Order: sequence, then structure tokens, then C-alpha cells
Amino acid sequence: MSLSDDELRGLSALLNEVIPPSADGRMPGAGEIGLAPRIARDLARQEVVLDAVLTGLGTLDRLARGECGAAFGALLAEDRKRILAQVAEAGTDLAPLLAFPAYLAYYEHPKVLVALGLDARPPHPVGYELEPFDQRLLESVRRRARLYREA
Amino acid sequence: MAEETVDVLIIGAGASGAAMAWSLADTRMRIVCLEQGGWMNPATYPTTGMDWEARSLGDFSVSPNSRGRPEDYPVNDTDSPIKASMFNAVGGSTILYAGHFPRLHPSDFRTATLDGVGADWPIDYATLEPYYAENDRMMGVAGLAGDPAYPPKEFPLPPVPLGKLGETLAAGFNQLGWHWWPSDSAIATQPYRGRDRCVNLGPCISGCSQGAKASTDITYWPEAVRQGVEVRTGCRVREILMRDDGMADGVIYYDAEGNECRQRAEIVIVACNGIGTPRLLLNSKSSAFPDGIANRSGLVGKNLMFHPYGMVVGFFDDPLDGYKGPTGCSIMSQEFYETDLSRGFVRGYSFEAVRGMGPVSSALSGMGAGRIPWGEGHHEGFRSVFNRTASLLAICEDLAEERNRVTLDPELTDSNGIPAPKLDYRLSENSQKMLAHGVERAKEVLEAAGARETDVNSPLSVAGWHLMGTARMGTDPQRSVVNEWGRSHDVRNLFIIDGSIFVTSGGVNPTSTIQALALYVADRMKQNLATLFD
Ligand SMILES: Cc1cc2nc3c(=O)[nH]c(=O)nc-3n(C[C@H](O)[C@H](O)[C@H](O)COP(=O)(O)OP(=O)(O)OC[C@H]3O[C@@H](n4cnc5c(N)ncnc54)[C@H](O)[C@@H]3O)c2cc1C
Ligand code: SF4
Repeated sequence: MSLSDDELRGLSALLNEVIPPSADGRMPGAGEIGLAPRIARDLARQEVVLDAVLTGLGTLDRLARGECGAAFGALLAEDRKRILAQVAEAGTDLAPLLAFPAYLAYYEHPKVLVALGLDARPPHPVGYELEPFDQRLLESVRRRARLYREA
Repeated sequence: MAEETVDVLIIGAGASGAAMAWSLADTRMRIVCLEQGGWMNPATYPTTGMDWEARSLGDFSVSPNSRGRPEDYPVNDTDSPIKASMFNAVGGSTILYAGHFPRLHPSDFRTATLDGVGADWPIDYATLEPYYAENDRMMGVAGLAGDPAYPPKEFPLPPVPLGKLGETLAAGFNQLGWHWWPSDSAIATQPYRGRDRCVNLGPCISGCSQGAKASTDITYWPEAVRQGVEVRTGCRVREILMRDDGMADGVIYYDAEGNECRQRAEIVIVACNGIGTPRLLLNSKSSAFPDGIANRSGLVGKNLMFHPYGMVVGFFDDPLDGYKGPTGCSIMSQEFYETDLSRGFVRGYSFEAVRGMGPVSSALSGMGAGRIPWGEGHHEGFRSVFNRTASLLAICEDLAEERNRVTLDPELTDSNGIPAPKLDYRLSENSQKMLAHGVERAKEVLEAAGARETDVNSPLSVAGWHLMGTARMGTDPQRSVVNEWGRSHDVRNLFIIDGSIFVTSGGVNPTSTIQALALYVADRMKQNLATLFD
């Protein structure tokens, strides 16, 4: 099932609530790096979850249009938070449903890896260099008597 | 076409099947191995792509139930707090294993005599010692000689680098005056027999795309195949057949297209692991063996042993670079391995250090532990976890109990309609006390090493990866399934060589012992070829 542009904008706005941009501006919000289509695809593997998210998005959008005259995805942060809090109070908290796929997609995204100071590449083939360890660390262990029992 | 009878039929191409095939290959017998999985292609392993962490939860999950590849069979593990973990392919579970490769201790073979629990093995450490050494050469084991916790042993390769994380933990052990040693690791730290050296990618447990980790598809199998052993992939054995004279006749299996096929053999060797082997034996019913082949003792499937794992994660202020280096191989400790009854339990455990996690796993596990919230505080939470954790696993000896067992599920089947295994397993009181002790000591080490906080996950439910005891060896046919060299007491041309034949579990990862046993059984077979069935 593909999401409409409005739904994708709404989902992006929600993702920004799950992983917001960091206060120091170093880390992007999860809604700012184009994750919505991928997360929608991931959610589609579990129809019930996708249904719940879409229903929730519909509710958010209705409230947003009613109270602020704009789609949920187009609201200012403050209004978004207020609407979300209302819906959560009524028992529909979407963040827990989105957290798993959001964390999964966010922390493998090249922009996020670079912001964390990591290389934006898979581990293979470059890998990492590690120095051989300093065997002086073992001096006290080497001095110990045998620890195993003869049998 | 006339039906061919092969000399030797090995079922399962994992750790033990590979070692057996290689060792028997020099006899020039006609050897066929049936394996339900296929050859893996390391170029497609998760670590070659950006989604490497997501794939370790999907098509490379350690659980056959979550993975659900066509070659996997389901395992009903709802009645076990420890869940089944394995891989089905040429290489078996070594495709995913961490390569932590310690040996058993001499005392593990004599628990009844020394400590009054379990049973003594019909063989001892000295019997296996040359086979351990041969296996270390074949697998390419990295380590450091001189460990006071073991009888002397040499290694073909230098130890894995400890990295900042390993050295930090080592300092913690030193501060407490406790034993630690660089891990024996089935990882090529230098180029070795055509394998590339480890480049410290980290996630060895989703397959080593570098080819540095010793999975048997790249160690034993290429050599065995070169010597003429045939590996038939995509072939799932349904049952072992009996002849009228009380000998095994061969097997019925399904090929990759689902065709039912028969393969006759003079010798049948089962190497399907501690769950797959009892499952196959129990599925092989005949008039001679209504309760499953080789099961006159009634012990097939019983005495299932895992190693209960207690995991403690330490959180440090400084970065530890823990995502660099082989996940499960840095240092280990055997301070609490041998029995000391003043601890409140009998037998003991090892500590295995685990390096840190990648960003996705850090985020997800941090969320699970309530340390990385969504919304406000997310980034602070992540920063306090990622690259700042080091973990210790207490790998506890599991004493054999008949109530812990593998049976056949009355309803669940695999894609060929073959009944699936069901696990019934409870932690003994001794295991619970040992786990509790391990968890407390792990906290002490982590704190001594500088951890500001610790989280506990015990027993670790995913850790059902050491599968032992379900067709144990022994000299008494009433109390064991196979004799002291792996031959079934009941069927004289049927051998079992995987972790099923363990009598006790010890408190270390089992694969070096599984393979040493397979090499030992192979040698005994070769020495006794003329009188093998007497
Ligand atoms: C995630 C993970 C981490 C691990 N880490 C370590 C570690 O660090 N150190 C360690 O010592 N051990 C570790 N292990 C355990 C180790 O992998 C096993 O001990 C070892 O592979 C067992 O060898 P085996 O020959 O008994 O069985 P396996 O290697 O499991 O091989 C059994 C083979 O039999 C095949 N088979 C089963 N039934 C049938 C059938 N009916 N027909 C045809 N084929 C069949 C399977 O497909 C499989 O390929 C780990 C395991 C996992 C999963
Ligand atoms: S850390 Fe080494 S052994 Fe492990 S996957 Fe990477 S290269 Fe292979």
C-alpha cells in the first residue's frame, strides 16, 4: 500500500517527534532525512501496525485541520506537540509503534552516521585497525598457580 | 539407474560433519554428506551493506523461527526460557558463531568422580588433546600460550587484539586479582591457509564476509571436497531406515525440489546438532525401534543442556571503540570455573567479554532497557550508550537432567511435513545460583573497570546456541545412546558425532570439543575399519 503525499508528510512530522533534531543542531530529526517512505514500506510488512499508524495519522490530521486549519504535516512544532498530546491522552500514542522502525532506519542512514563521527560505509571491506595488546597487562595472571584440576 | 550404496553417509555439514568428512576422506571411501541448507556466499553477508544491523534481525537472525529461510525448520521453544539458535547451511551454525574457542577442562570429563554430580565421560582430556590440537590447526585458532587455567597448549596464530574495550576490562580483572586471558579464537589474525586476516569488522555473528572467521564451509569443507567427498545441498533427511539384520540401511530425504529420494549407505553418521539429531532419531521409527532409532535406552532427546548465560552490560563514561574487533572474542576469565562449594553451587562458569554494538543495535537495546527514550532526551540517551558499553557473559555449566528434553511436536512441521522438535527446559536451582553469582561478580569487574552503571539480562533468552547432551556417550547401553567412540549401542553402523554426545556441558563454548570429538571418532573408525561393526 503506498501512502499519499499528505500521509507521508504527516509521517515525517511524527518521525520528528520520535527522534527530534538535537538541541545543538548536530543530529537531524528522523523526519528530516527522507525516512518516511522506507518506514512506510517496513510498516507494510505488518498490516495491523500500518493500519494503526494510518488511522492515527488520519485522526491527527482531522484535529489539526479543525483546530489550526492546516494538515498535521504542515503544523508548527508547538501545535504539533499539542495535537499529539491530545491524541495520546485519548489513548492513541503512535510513538511506540514507530520507535522500532524509526530507530532501525535512522541509525543506518549515512547522514546520521557522519553526524555521529562514523564513516558512512558498511563495515566490510575496510574494517578497522587495532593494535596488538600490551602483554605486560598479563604479568600478575602469569604469576598465578595452576587454576585447573588434574583429572 | 541402479541405486548406489555409498560407504559413508554423513547427515549435516556443520562443525562436526565437516571435521568427520575431512578426516575420513583419506580412506578413499565413497563419502556423501546430505545437508538441508546450501553453500553460503560471503559476498552477500550483511556486513557488506549499510543495512547490516537490520539484516542480523532478519534473514541472518540467530533464531530459525524468526529467520524462516526455506532451509530452516521451526523449533517449538515456547516451553523453554532459553530459545533455540542455529544456522542451517554448509558450515552449519559456524556460519553465525562468534568463534570463541576454548577447550573443556580436564575436570569436565570427571564431574561424578570429582564433584559427585553428572556422569563421567568414557574418555578424558588427554584422549582428546591431540584432536583439539589438530582441530586448532585446521580451523586456524588464535590465542596465547601460558594460560594457568589450562594444561599447556600452543596456537597456530597470535591472539586477537583486545582493543581499548578488552584492555579496560582486563584492568578491572587485574584490580580484583582475578584470572583473565586473551580468548582462544577461531579467527585468522594473520592470513592463514588461503584465508584473509580479520579486519575487525565486529559483527562476526552475522557471517564473516572477510573469510577470517573459521566457519567450516571455508576450512574443512574445501579440503574434504578436493579429496572427493560429495556434499549434496538442499537435501533434508526425513528418517534413517533399518535393515532386517539390525543395521541402518540409509536414509529417506527430500531434495531441493521436494522429491522424496533414498540413499543407501554402509555407515550412517549423524551430525545435525543437539536439536536436529534427536529430532531425526525420534522421527526414524521402525518395528525394531518404535520410539526412534538407537533409542532402546529411552535417552534420545533427554538431558538437553544449554549453557545458561548471565549477561551484564557496563556503561562507561569514555568511548571504548567497542564496535571495532570480533564481537565475542577479546578476553575470557575462568576465575570461577572449578568447583568451590562455598559459593553455594557445584561446578562453575567462564566469563566471555563482549565488545560493543553498532549504532542500530545500541539504539534498539537502549530503547528496550529504557535508556534511550523517543522524543525529548533521545540524543542524550543515545550518547550515553553508544560506544560506551562493554559486557560480560557468565557462561554457566548446565547439569544434565532428563526432564530437559527434545521431543517431537505433535502438530508443528517443517516445509516437507516432517515433525518439528519441541523443547522442554527448566533452569535447575544450581544453574540459578550460578547465574546469580556470575551476575554479581560481573558487576564487580565492570565497576572495577570503571563502569558507572550496569544492566542485567539473565538468563539471556536468545542464547540457546550451545546444544548438548541429547544422545549422550557412555559405556552402559542403559545410561547412554552411543559408546565411547560415538557408535550407537543399538545399531552398529550408526554413529553420532555432534554436541548431542556430550556427557557434561562444562562452562565453555562447545565447538572446539565437538570438532575434537568428531576427529577422534573418525580416527577410531579408521583404526578399526576391519572390525567396525563387531
Ligand atoms: C549465534 C551463534 C553464536 C555461536 N557462538 C559460538 C562460539 O563463539 N563458540 C562456540 O564454540 N560455539 C558457538 N556457537 C555454537 C556452534 O555454532 C555450534 O556448537 C556448532 O556449530 C555445532 O556443531 P554441530 O556440528 O553440532 O551442528 P551445526 O553446526 O549446527 O550443523 C548441523 C547441520 O545439520 C544440518 N541438518 C540438521 N538436520 C538435518 C536434516 N534432517 N537433514 C539434513 N541436514 C540437516 C543443518 O542444516 C546444519 O547445517 C554459536 C552458535 C550460534 C548460532
Ligand atoms: S571481526 Fe574479523 S572475524 Fe569477525 S566478521 Fe570481522 S573480519 Fe570476520
